[in-house]
Amino acid sequence: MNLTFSVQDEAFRDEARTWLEAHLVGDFAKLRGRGGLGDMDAFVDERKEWERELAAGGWTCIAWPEEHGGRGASLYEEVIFLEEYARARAPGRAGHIGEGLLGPTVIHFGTAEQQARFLPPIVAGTEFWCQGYSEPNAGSDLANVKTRAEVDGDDWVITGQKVWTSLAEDSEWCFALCRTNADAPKHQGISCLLIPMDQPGIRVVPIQQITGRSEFAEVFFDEARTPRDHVVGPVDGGWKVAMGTLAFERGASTLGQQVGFVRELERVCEVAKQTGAARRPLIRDRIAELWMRLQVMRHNALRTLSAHDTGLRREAFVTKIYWATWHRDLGDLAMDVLGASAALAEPEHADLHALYLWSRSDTIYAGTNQIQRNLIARRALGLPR
Amino acid sequence: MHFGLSEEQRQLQDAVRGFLGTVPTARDVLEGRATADDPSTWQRIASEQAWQAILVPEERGGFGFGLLDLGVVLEELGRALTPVPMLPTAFATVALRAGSGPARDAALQAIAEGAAAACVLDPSCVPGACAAQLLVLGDGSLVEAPVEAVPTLDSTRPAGRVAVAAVAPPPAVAAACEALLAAECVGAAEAVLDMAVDYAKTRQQFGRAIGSFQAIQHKCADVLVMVESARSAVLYALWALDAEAPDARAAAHTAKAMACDAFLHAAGDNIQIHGGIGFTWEHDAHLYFKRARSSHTLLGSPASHRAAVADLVLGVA
Repeated sequence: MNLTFSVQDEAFRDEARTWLEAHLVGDFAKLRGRGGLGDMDAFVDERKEWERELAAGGWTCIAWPEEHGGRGASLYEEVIFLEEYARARAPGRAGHIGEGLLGPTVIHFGTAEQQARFLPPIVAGTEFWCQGYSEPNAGSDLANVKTRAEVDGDDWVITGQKVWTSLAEDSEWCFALCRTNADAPKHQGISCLLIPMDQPGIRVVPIQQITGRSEFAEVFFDEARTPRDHVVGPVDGGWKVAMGTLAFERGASTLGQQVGFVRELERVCEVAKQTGAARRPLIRDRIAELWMRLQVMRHNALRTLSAHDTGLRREAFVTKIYWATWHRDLGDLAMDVLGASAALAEPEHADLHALYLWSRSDTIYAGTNQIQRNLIARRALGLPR
Repeated sequence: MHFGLSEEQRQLQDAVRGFLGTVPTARDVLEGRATADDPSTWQRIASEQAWQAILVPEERGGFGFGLLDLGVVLEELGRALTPVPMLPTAFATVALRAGSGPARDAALQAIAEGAAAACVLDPSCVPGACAAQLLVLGDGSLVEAPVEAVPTLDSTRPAGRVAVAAVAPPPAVAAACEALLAAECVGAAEAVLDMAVDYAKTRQQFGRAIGSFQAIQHKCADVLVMVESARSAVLYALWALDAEAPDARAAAHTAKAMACDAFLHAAGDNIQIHGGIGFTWEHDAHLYFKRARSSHTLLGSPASHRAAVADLVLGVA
């Protein structure tokens, strides 16, 4: 066990912190604390401008290899940047889907031409991406995608529907899983296509959530088109690409996310003191329980990172279900510390209601708790199908 | 930055596992083939393995290693449920280490040379008291007092009632004892998880392995989440205590609460997944279930540790 970062890592931390403090000023100052999960529809244009500010400082795509415009940052440098980013309350990243999902996919599976075409605008913050995976009948059963893509001359022609697409209205491009071979077994007839969003064959309809906000959309494809060479990986080989995309997360992001969780728990404690709930033994027990689980969340993450080069071990499967359940429990606790006023919509408690409602999505998106348990049972414990 | 055991600690883990295959088991105790806290087994450990010397400072004849190193040993003892007085001796060593003076120095020397010891934290139930050659109070002072064996729910961990008033240990001593007990609990919790999973893979009902049913899979998955989280909590607490980190006290509360909750939950689910066979005397499931219950109570329940954490986080109510 050695829980100190190296001198070089700490120097990197200083560099990141100093830069963020110097640049989150002027027009960008109002973006602090905005645009994160639950607030992704806020200040989109300003956050895109912020992406270009980050790019100018060399702070986009830091984990990408240098030959693709990144810094080749180590895993710990990535963690440090995400922690400092969260500490500075810098805005939710408008470019996170390009940087975190599509980019690494193109680096791993794409052709040299695709890399040259698509990566530089992501690094520069000039093109934004949305992800077209989920469909009305392909949620947990993702391989059930039905959106069709057929070759017509030099183009793919795409017809179907995607859902739960964040930033759909604000993206230049969508990477979508499409059915390109209806006769093959369902995992073997899918391709990953790169589709321009600004065309007559695409219609975006926002979804209103239980929070009242609209951070996601339905995307309807009606003979939308994209050039035939805009397929990542082999035609009909998109399932492997999709699984690869989901595996590129190296386990760094959860540590940045935890900076926000610490803040949220502190806020609940503060309100508990104001309302007097903090004197009640049952509330104290739950606050202590969540406090302990948050410490453990950090230690689980550090343990997973320390073992990242030895392959996925048991503890790596815990991450998603652990934080999602924690956050949902915090939402419940936030309501209970409010007591009777939980039923009122008082402006000073709007953040707690937002937490309570948003956190219901945490145990659903990116693999429901039930899917996580299936994964743990089969892949970590080796239980049979 | 490295969160996990060192190469040397992994080797120690392997060595402990290997050695434990050569000593009497909890099952041997249950069936009368061996005695819990048997002096000859302890002497073998002391002379061949010297685990009791891990925490003893070098100038007192020990190795001067840390709690994390001893935690590796205790985790394996918990996994195998080996009925030897290592944990009580560790508690006594921790209490002695915190003090000073010739009597304590001599006691540490004696432990390094193989004396079994026990620490009187709760006089009504002192694990290892009957086998102990040295009795230590919470403040590290030595005491001679009558010991009366008491029957225990967990027959593989004998305890005694000691006729002496308790002395509260300093916070660092209490914390170290909690974290060491938590290490034992994590090993035992993982053992029952593995037991349940192995059984679920082989037991057939409705024409298929019961481990293929989501009701069983999700139970096992939840236990894995608890066990791995408890392991992280224990590693951190042992490290934080060795490093005297500012949050070491809270980390020990966390480790004790989470490891005991995980173990009790895992041991209960292990019986449930085994069905009827898990309810029989001849299956080992009940040995772990009883150890889980007694460890839950020893050194304070998880709820009492959460109450202590609440005082740290929110201030005293």
